[in-house]
Amino acid sequence: MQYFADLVISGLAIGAIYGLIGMGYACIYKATGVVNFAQGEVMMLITYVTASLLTLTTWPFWMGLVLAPAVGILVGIVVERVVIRPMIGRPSFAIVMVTIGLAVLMRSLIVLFWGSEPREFPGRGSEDVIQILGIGLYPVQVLAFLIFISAAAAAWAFLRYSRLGIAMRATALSEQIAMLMGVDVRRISGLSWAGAAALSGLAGVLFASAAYVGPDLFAVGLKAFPATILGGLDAVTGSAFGGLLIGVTENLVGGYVDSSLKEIAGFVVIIFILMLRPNGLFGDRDVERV
Amino acid sequence: MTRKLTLLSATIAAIALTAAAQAAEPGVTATEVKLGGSTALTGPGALVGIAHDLGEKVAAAEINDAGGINGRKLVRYFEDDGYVPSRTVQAMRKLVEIDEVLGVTASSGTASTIAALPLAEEKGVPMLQTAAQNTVMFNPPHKNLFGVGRSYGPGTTEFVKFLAGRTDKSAKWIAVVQDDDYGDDVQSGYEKAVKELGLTSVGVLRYKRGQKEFSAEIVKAKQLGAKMIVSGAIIGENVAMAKEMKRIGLDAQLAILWSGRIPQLIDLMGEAGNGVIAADYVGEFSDPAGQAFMAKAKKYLTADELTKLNRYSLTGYVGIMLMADAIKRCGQEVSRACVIAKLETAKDVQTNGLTSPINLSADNHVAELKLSYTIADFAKKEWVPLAK
Repeated sequence: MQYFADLVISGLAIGAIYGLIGMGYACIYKATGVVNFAQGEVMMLITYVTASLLTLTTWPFWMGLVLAPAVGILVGIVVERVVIRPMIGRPSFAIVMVTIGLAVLMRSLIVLFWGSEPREFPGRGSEDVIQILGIGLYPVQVLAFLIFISAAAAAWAFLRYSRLGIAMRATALSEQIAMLMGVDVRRISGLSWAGAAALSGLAGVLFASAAYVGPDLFAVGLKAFPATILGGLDAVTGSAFGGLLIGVTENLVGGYVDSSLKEIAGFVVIIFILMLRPNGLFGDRDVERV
Repeated sequence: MTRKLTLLSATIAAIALTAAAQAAEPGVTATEVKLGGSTALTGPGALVGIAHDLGEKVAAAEINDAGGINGRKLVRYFEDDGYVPSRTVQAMRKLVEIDEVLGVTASSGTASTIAALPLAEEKGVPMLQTAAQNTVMFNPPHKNLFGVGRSYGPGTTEFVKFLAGRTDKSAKWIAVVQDDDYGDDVQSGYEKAVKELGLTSVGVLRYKRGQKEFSAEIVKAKQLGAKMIVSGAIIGENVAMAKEMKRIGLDAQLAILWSGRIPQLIDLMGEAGNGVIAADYVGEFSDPAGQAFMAKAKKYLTADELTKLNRYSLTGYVGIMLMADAIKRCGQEVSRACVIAKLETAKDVQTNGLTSPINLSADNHVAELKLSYTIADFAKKEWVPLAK
């Protein structure tokens, strides 16, 4: 039982990171219909910038959790204005290809500016292990889970009750009708990119402080993609739940079946779930897939 | 007078013919010898590639300052392949057909080397691989490919035997390896040692290359009662494993191979990495030989470049030294065929103490260097030598 609990709790810890990034994917898709394949790279860029700011200012680690969303909003707005907005009206496939190009560009720029050496996240959180129900966790993992829960709840409330959130849902339903109803769809697009980048930035800082900052950090973003597909590409809170499910599934497969199958376990789950529910567990039925 | 003119003309003609013959040999002129290489200078693999390139740069500068190789200046051509095999092939084509190098002293890794090998074989270009020694590169052997370092399989066997000598005989062992050629070699070396020594192995866990999270593997190792973990991982994976061991409370010895033993690893692992044991075939920067290398590096590299040095700089340096030794022994008649022949007779080639002497032969194209062992000391932030 202890073995099972260890695998599940460990899976939830990494699943919270996947969930945060997955929410970012869904946030953009819901508002703009674009799958951002540069989400992992955006996360990596924000993490590097935040780490550099912390190093320059010698601010404590927790300031990174404030800086990351702020930097994320800035990065998201810049990317949307400079790269995505000029592509409005072009085929979805072209925009997706642009995000792939953006990913490659960001990876190269990061190595160019920060070098290829992995480094520790400045002032990384305490390395003392906290025991919860007999299972060890690093404080930053507990923090990641709390932030994940808060972010998922905030996203749910935002989309359900706020004017902007409702406008975002309206845009997702029909951009033209939303425009006719007075919704500024460009603003919504910018907001979704900013929000997605903020969530990814938080995930990046939380992951890097438990691991390290390196030019291969983007791979964590790729792992979050199945979480989004599983939860529903247009379901923000569903993607968050998908992250937890993927994290736990990977660990249980790694622990009980074969560790070499761990990395593909999430994709196998997706195949089965999509066969039963083509739009994911929480996705709307009219999703157009890329 | 006529006889003198005839003699002079004959001499000039002979010199011209010799020069022409010499010029026809790719990569060699009367004043220069060209060597090439391709590694990842961009992307995540650049940690290895840049360090390797800088090590070669130091070696070349040192050789040229000492008068070159038999009076010929050593000129290097280096390409960025981004750790992508198809780009290595492009780089190799440029090096061999456009730059016309005499030999190649670097290619990113196993897949890149194998991808570039057909062209090198076709053109008879001597190739060195000093950073990775997978069985698949040398079995079957290739006439023009030489390895310097330690084959992962036999190296792991030797490492496990060293560790077993320091460990309780009843301890349970486990290996965590990457699911690629590197992992295959580490696994075979581990299993050989387990069999030979009669150790209790509770399994081999294979993971997908690029995996970032290792909680399931470490929880499983704890469940199986492992006290010795032999890691066939590179850098980030070792960091993740060490941290998970601390989190889960697994009181076991983590042992890593040279491929991940960079100075930054201690910082990255933090307190969790204290006591991790590593094997390597190149020494420490704090050793007398390492300090001598650093003195040269300070002379030839910029302050920014100095921060990028790691163990792969030493492997790069050693590769150039070996190639220079072979070229030197060719005398004035340098050719690709001659360099290959001389590499096959390399005997006790010294590397200024950075590694054990290098020996190669026609039957053995991999110089198996002596391993040394270090332990991570987080307080000192360095790898401290372990006595045998």
